[in-house]
Amino acid sequence: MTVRSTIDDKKSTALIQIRGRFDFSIHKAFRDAYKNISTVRKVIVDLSEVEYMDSAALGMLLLLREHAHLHSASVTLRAPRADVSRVLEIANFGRLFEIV
Amino acid sequence: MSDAIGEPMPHTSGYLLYTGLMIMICLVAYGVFREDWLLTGMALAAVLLTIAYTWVVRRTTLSAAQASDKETEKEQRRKTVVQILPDLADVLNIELNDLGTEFERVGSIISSAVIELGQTFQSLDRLSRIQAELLNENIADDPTDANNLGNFMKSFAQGSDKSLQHFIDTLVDVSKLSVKSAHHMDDMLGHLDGIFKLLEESASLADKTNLLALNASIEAARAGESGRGFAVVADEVRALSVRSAQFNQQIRCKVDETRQSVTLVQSTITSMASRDMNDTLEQKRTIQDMFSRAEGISKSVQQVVSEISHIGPQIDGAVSNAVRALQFEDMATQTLGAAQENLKNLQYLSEEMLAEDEPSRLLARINSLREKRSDKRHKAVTQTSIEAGTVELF
Repeated sequence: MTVRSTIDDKKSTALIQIRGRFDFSIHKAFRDAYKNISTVRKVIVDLSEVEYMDSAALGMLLLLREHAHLHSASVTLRAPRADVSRVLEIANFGRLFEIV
Repeated sequence: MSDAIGEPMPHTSGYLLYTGLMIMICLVAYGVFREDWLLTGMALAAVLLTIAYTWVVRRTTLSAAQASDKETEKEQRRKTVVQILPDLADVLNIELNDLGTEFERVGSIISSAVIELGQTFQSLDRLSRIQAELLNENIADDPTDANNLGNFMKSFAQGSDKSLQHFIDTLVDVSKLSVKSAHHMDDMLGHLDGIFKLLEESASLADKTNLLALNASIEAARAGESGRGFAVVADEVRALSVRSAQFNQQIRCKVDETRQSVTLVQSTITSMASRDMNDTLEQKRTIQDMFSRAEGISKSVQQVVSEISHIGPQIDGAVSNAVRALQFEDMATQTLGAAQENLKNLQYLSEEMLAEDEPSRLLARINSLREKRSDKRHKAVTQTSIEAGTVELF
């Protein structure tokens, strides 16, 4: 499974982990990972194991952000690698997401 | 006694002198004999004086004769010189005439060269001014001017950066909308699956109705004549169930087609949503690299322009120095004029030498010329340097 989602109800946090290629092929799995999140305050997307990211992945992250904002939750992107980091930078995602 | 010795007549009174000398000697002897020392002394002095006088006179006469010989020789030489004077004058005249022509040529060469140099410097000055004006007008080094090359490059780079960012934002936005559409398509496929399930239920209902109608017709046949009406109804119900099954099949086909269309849309959306960001990254890097290079070029152009604009005044200065140096023509002309004057005098002299046979009159003419020259020398031009103040172009 390239997309894994865990919800920590105590901390009111959802963690979405992605492995390998983050592209259009996993759009369904990615949406399923956050579709039913409505109670958490914070969504963390762990990118540490993402090797490649295309524009569809950026679009998916934006949709996640829209969904999270509807439920007053924030989105944090965690530990992107250098290549992924450059893609996030060129798309100016620093002004939309918290990247740690 | 001393009076007789004092008469300087050596040629005619040689014997008289010797006689006197003998008398003096006798007087000396007489004085010694009489022991009159005063007389002896005086006579002895007279004898010595006479001898000295004679010796001096001899010497004078000898050197006078030698001088006279030299004079004669000199006279001879002078005569020879006077004889070759006309030839000398002739040769001098030819050389002097040639010299005069050369002087004139040098003068005209200098004048035309100076005129040409002056014109050249004038156009150099004009071109330098035009260059400075062009530089100031077109590539002015004014940091507040928006058309300034550096500012233009900066705003151009910023504009391009903005455009590229806009392009990337659009790209990401299109991807987002595509993914959103893909989600809708997923939902739609889910709905279509739901329709399929309903259609299956509907199909099984039709099958059951058919079976029920069949059973009803069997029961009607068993009832005989009284069940004939019922059999007709059962047949109609059966026919309706068959038609219902047919409809069900048709709807199935349509829904299947819809599903295929949705799958096609999915693949279109996939290609719309998926863009390799590495290409965009590479493009952005290329553009940034190009702009940093363009900025470097514009900076070096600015630097060169400012250096050129500083060279302008230096050219002006050099040109005015050169123009000032051209004043040497005045001095050269004056010097040449003086030389030509000297030449004229020489020519006059040689002509005089040819015309005058009498040396004394020639000497008189030469002397008068010499006086004229010394008068002139006092009024000679004293300027020897071309260092002077600033000079306008002529």
